[in-house]
Amino acid sequence: MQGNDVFGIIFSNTNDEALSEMTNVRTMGSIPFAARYRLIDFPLSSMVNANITKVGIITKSNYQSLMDHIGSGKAWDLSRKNDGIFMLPPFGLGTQGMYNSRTEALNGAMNFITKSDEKYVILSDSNLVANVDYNALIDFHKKNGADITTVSAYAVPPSNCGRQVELVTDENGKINDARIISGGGEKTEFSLGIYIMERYLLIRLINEGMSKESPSFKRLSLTSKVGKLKLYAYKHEGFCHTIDSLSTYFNVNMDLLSYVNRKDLFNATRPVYTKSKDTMPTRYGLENTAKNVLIADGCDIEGEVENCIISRNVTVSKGAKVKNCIIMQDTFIGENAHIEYAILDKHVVVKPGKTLCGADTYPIYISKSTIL
Amino acid sequence: MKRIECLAMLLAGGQGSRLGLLTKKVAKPAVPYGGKYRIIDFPLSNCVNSGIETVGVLTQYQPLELNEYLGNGHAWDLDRANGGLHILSPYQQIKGTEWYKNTANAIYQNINFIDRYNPEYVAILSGDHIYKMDYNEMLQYHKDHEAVCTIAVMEVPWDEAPRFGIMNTNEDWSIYEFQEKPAEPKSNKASMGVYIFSWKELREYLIADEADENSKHDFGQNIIPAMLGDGKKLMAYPFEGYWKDVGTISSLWEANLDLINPNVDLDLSDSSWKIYSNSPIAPPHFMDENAYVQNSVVAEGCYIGGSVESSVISSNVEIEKGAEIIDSVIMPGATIKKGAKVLYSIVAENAVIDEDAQIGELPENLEPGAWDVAMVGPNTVVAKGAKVKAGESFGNKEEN
Repeated sequence: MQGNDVFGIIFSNTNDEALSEMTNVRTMGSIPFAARYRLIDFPLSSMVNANITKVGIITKSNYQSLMDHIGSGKAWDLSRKNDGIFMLPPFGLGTQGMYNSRTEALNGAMNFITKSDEKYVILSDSNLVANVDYNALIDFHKKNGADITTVSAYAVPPSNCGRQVELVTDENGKINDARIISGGGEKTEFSLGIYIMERYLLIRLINEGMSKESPSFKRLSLTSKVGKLKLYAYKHEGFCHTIDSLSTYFNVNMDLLSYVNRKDLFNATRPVYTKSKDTMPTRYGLENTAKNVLIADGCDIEGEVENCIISRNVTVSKGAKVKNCIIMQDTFIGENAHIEYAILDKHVVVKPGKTLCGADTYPIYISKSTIL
Repeated sequence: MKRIECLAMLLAGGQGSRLGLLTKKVAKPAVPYGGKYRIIDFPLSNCVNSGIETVGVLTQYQPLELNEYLGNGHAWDLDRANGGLHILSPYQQIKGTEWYKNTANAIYQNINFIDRYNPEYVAILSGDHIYKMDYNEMLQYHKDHEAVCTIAVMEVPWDEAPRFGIMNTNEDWSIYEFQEKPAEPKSNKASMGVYIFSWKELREYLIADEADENSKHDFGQNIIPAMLGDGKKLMAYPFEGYWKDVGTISSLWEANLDLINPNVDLDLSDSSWKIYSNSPIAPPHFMDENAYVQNSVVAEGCYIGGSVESSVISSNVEIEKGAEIIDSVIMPGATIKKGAKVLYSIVAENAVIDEDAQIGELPENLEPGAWDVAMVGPNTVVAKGAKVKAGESFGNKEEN
């Protein structure tokens, strides 16, 4: 054990089916986001910024892209002689390996959990875009002497990523009631799927869950424990969105065109780390227009871009018009092509002169390596 | 220890005093270049891309920032169990503490380090140039010609030749004479400051040179002439491509603007020969609705709300609405406030140009020959409405 007596566990395949177009070839955690990040960078950086030196990443399927992204964990300073990153693929005897719930997934990682000697554990999903101050969370948990603290937000709960847990809390954050809801609807306080508890309690919950028919981790940790354990909610006030559909993916990306949101998510004292690609800075040609765009390194911008999120090594050729789009890494847009309201995955080639327009309420998605 | 074929020694201890304010607090190899790089990224990346994985970096002058930047070498993949990057600073010995007196003496003082790896060849590089070069091809050339020393040369325009160390060669590219900055050059083959030596021979010459009290302990002035005098085989290795000494403010400015000059053969986006750097952690850059950016490069973490033409904008720079940047180099972390103008200038790291200030002038508005690059030093604040004239350097008093 090094650092602060807390280790982390991240679920990389959280709710993959909500974004099946993109998770066909990758995990939720490795979905590209905000021009140079992957979704897992957010919980991972939060952990690193709280001096957590050991993180287990639970994987399920299609995790090659995730392994490629994480590598040895160097970019997050987690390439360590002691501790560091632990990849936790499905574990089981024979064909029983694949898990269907969070509790089963944790049970598969039981070895990792029991062998750890940290007192506390933080669990996080990978479909949440937020820069949560885990240091403050740890302090809050200890100060209240809580058994379980979950991170909560006051907002409209996501409607397309399973059931949510609505919380009723007092002014100190103590949870007086917790109930399962279906998401959507009115603004309310709900759990963001981030928990901190003592390691021994997590082991107890997993064992309890595995002896039941439907071992829902939400029920195990929150709804069934109201009045039995000391439950607290740490309210996250800043930018925070759960990616639960293609349209939220689009909108949350676009939210980063706002200065206030960027300032909150890319907090200077809690940086978001990601793998570096050593690409040169972006080149702007003659007669380009770039307005209200977030652009990573390595691009060549010769055409017109407006209201866009553009990832590394993207080329926008002369005369091309790209508006309200998310363009992922290594994509090429030919001369005089015209694209609006679209999400172009990695390595897409748009031939010169092509036109491609989605609707503002429903962006079109072009899958990886498509040639148009 | 596993034996290695070729080890590189990178001379990074020089002050680079002609860079003025830029090198008051940092060694020249750590001076920012090209938006996200520092000068030393070029020789280091060349080493890694050439398969040279053991590099000694000799530091002396203001090493703090350079050492921090290099770290354990991981940005260049040089954090190795075997070999990798080593920072070699002058150290205390039984007979006392000695600074590195000159280039040859610096290598002499690290003979023990080189001997630990017992290499066949040693490449001596300098941390002052922007270029991409395959040292491995040069090594092959060195071996093919069974030379004792091979020096990379570049044919420069004849009128510039008196500024360089010139190699006079025979028809087969063997060197018969070395002239340091000759008034009347016999050849236009300028030394690029890249040498490959056969270690056994170089080792002997370094020891002999150290014993010579009249020697200046310099490669160009002592070691090379001594080898030539003994009739050893020295070869010139012809290099073609981009190479620039960034020793002065104006050459550093030019080398930066070469990145956006379509007639210059310097491509840093070539994925087969990447230039690695210890990049700052920064989000993508943002262009707001007032941004106007033409023929420029912009690095990550920037916020652009003003107008930028033919310029290099480094990481985490902020350019407010109404600011105007023309043909300039803005180094990391600088802020250009609204209404400020930066023309044909260098603005160094973390400088702040306050509202309506003007840095530099357009050459066409001045008498011919009166124009030069203006510079604002690191961590300097240029007050509201103030003016820094063409050719002037304006620095923070505390920095001086």
